[in-house]
Amino acid sequence: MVVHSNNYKTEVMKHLLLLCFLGIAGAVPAQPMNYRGTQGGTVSLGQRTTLSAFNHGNEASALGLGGQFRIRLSDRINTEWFFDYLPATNEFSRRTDYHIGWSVMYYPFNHNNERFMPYVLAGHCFDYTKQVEIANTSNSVDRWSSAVQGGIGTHVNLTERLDLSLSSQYMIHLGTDVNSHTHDGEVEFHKEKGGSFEGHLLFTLSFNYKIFDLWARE
Amino acid sequence: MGARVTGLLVGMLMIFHAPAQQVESGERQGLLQATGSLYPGWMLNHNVRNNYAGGHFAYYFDDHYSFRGEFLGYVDAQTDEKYIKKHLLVQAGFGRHFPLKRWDPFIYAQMGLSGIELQGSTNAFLRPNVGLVAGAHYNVSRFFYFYAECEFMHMKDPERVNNLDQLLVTAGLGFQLPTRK
Repeated sequence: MVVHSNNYKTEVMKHLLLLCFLGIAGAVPAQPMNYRGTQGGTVSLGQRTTLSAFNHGNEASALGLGGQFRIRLSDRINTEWFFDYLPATNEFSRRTDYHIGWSVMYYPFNHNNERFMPYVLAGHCFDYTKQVEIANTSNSVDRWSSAVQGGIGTHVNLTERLDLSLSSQYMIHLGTDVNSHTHDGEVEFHKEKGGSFEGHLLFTLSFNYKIFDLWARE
Repeated sequence: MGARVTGLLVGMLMIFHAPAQQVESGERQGLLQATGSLYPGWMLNHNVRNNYAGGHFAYYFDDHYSFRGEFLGYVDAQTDEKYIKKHLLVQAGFGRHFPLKRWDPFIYAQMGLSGIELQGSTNAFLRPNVGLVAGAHYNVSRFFYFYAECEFMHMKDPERVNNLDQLLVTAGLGFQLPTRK
């Protein structure tokens, strides 16, 4: 009886998933955005990949993956809330960074319907870093930190709802710095106290789809 | 029983949606596509060729743009020399299409995550990857299409300071369902 019940639930779930998928597919076709005068209130969902060019001697660049959503406050101001996972393999250690944070974007040119829409952005994020020695994974160091970032970018509006965004930012960590050295053949990690302006250059490519207008009227 | 109900539901959706869309004339919006195939691959940083099995689904939310998800699983190397032991990857991205009657040349930019284990290692890693796909569809009918494509996939080697890039090709027959009224 229990087996039958589970099978029935599984079948029901399968059909529900199929219906949801096809239903969403049927509903999504590019319906025009119903803006309430301005584009403020637009909510977008996006996926992003980030190239992190670390500026330390023996640290390799990292290719990251993440997600984000945007809530636009007005024609000129947008906000971006993101998460990034950035692993990198160095010569004798592996480094993993996680970024979770937000940025405010300002559009200096009020050209909402143009193909290219440049912006400047600045923001803050929390950052977790872990470094592990490749040959001895019990030798590791980690830290939580806070960071600020700023840069420039542009949207490339592909359709009314879909945009590709490319940005370049410099991120400065405000907390402790972790770095690795070899000393007499041994890998040593150092956690240095105090505000260090350790930073890295981030290039981010993202695809964003405008889901709905929070402030739209029926 | 389950298969019959699923078939009935799909059939009803197809009838009620009554697709007026004519893929023959270049209309694509609302198309839902899915396929599975084999993907021979060339590693660009090693003298190794691989075989992957996988597939993709795509949804056209515009005549010229679509969303696509792709999954691949490593089968084995074609060459005696092997570099990868296990590799599963998923990617998602957006594509630009250039429809011309039944033909549909396209490019996709995709990003995703790989679960990978290399030969001689017991460690598995999760590593981001990005892909650039170029290819073409030929719409045989409202429900079927032929396709051929080539993908450049880039990711970082989890074991050393190196790239782990591959060139993958595939071709075959895909199934599509017009979901737009």
